[in-house]
Amino acid sequence: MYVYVVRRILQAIPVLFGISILLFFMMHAIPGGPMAMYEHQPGMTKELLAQIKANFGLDKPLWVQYWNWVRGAVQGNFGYSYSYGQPAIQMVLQRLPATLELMLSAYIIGVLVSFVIGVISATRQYSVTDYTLTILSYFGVAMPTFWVGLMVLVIFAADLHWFPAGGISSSGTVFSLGDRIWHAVLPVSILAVYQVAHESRYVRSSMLDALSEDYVRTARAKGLLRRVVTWRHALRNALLPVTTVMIMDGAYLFGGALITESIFSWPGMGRLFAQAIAQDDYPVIMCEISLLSVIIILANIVSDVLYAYMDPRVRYD
Amino acid sequence: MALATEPKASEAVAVVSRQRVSVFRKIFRRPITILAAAFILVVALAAIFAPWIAPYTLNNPDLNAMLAPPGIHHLMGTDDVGIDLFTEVLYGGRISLSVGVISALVAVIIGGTIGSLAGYFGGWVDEILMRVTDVGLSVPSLFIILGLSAVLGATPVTIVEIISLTSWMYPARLIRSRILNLRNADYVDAARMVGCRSGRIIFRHILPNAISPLIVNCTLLVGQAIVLESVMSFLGAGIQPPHISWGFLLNQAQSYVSNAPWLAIFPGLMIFLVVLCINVVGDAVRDSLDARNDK
Repeated sequence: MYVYVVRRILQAIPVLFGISILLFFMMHAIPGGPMAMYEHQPGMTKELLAQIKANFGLDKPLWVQYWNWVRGAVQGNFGYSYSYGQPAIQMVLQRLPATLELMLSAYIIGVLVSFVIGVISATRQYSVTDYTLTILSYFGVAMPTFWVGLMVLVIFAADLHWFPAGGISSSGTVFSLGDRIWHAVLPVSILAVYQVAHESRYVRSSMLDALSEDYVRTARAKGLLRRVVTWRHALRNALLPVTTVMIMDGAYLFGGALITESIFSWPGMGRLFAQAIAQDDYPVIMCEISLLSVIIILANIVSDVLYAYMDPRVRYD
Repeated sequence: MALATEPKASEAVAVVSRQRVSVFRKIFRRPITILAAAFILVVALAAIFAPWIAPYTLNNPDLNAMLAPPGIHHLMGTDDVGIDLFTEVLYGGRISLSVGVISALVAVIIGGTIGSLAGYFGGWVDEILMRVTDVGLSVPSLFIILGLSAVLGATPVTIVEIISLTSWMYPARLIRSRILNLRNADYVDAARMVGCRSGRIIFRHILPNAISPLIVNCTLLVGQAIVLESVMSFLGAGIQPPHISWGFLLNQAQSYVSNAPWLAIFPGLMIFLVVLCINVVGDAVRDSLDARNDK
């Protein structure tokens, strides 16, 4: 097992290397190149610019520059935001808790509801319930998150005033859990609905496979309650293929958060990114992409290792 | 070996052509699929013939009817300067649909080529190409897409490039695994034995037999690409005027969403319905090609 974990981490190294090269060349494709941030500053002269260029080693060969950039990135040095002058990494990390609050709530709700819906669909395959849930999930998958977000905002915040139109908490008040939840309802449910639409299908098909296995028939033949067979025997085995999908979905939820946050003015990483895009704030853009790439790679490793751990039949040599 | 398979080959051709008819029939077995395909066709034709169908023009705002609600004169209402929204939706469909279709095709061609080379040659070619694919799968795609559009600028052409460069990985893996299965099939050995070159074997012998999952994937990618383009445009990193797309219209609608909701409803509805129909057709194609469903 440990050997497998170590090998899996070693395998991630070439991928990280590839990503770093990709990002490095993206940096150099930025209008003005990596020096662009200094050209912006007031009172900048040509001599000073050349001086800075030499200081940063930008007159050196490309591979030396690449090495320096990677060294900086590993230490969390992604340069300073053009718009705010703060270190990019600091700005991104400041926004991380808000994003995690949004994503984790949506993720937990999404996973639980997916299981319930998926299992119900599978145990009543081809019933009216199954068809209705299937159609709903079709709708959920095809609906663009940002459009649904916009519509929900209009209906429930602007017209009905049931929920606030955005933000993470009412301004000028002390922290209260109720207020936080009240603000989180709309963005969290949109993220969760989208996730349920995707994942309940996986749970359904995985459950269908499990339900047709011999051990399920054996359990039923023993006279066990149908409920017990479904939730304890079949579901445990159906979990296996679904886990991988769900962990990776967790990492990709950042993409959904990006859209949801910018619609609901949620002060998280996604909104920061959307603002950085609008303001051409390249250091923040690059910093956030690098960080998320690492998170996705980690999620990949975790899901593979967990799969190997959960299924004793899987042996990696 | 080669001789023994020859009469069978001609039989196979007949079977294939008969299969094609039945596959087509199978795809459109359910009325919902016909409905979905018909809707896509109508929207596509409306977009193509937009200049002839559109009741108004894009640069002739009706200053007496700014932010007019949907009605007889303006089917979907008008925007903040009095341009007919129905006209805008028709023209917007041209970019949305063509960006979607072209991006998906380019992505499938890139992915298909990389996957075929990796699967057919194996060894270090496979190793390198699959690591590149892993890199593509390990980057946060929506973030990379927006980042690239900030760096490269957003024109219809760069948007197609950006979307296809971030969606080829799945088709590449798909075709690679198919080719790994077919690489040592008897008829491929036979082709190799009579001296076919690698390129001919891949494109004439293996690909036609490996292509069906790719077609399904391409269909679904069209829907994905339409959504990606609209997200880009919605966040202001996509289509810029004078071009318009459904996502761009939604971006414009944001500021008027409470007093002119129709500006957000109709373009969004178009994206939703088109993607929904594409998914329905794509799934029908998959089900009809899936041999397991024949039982």
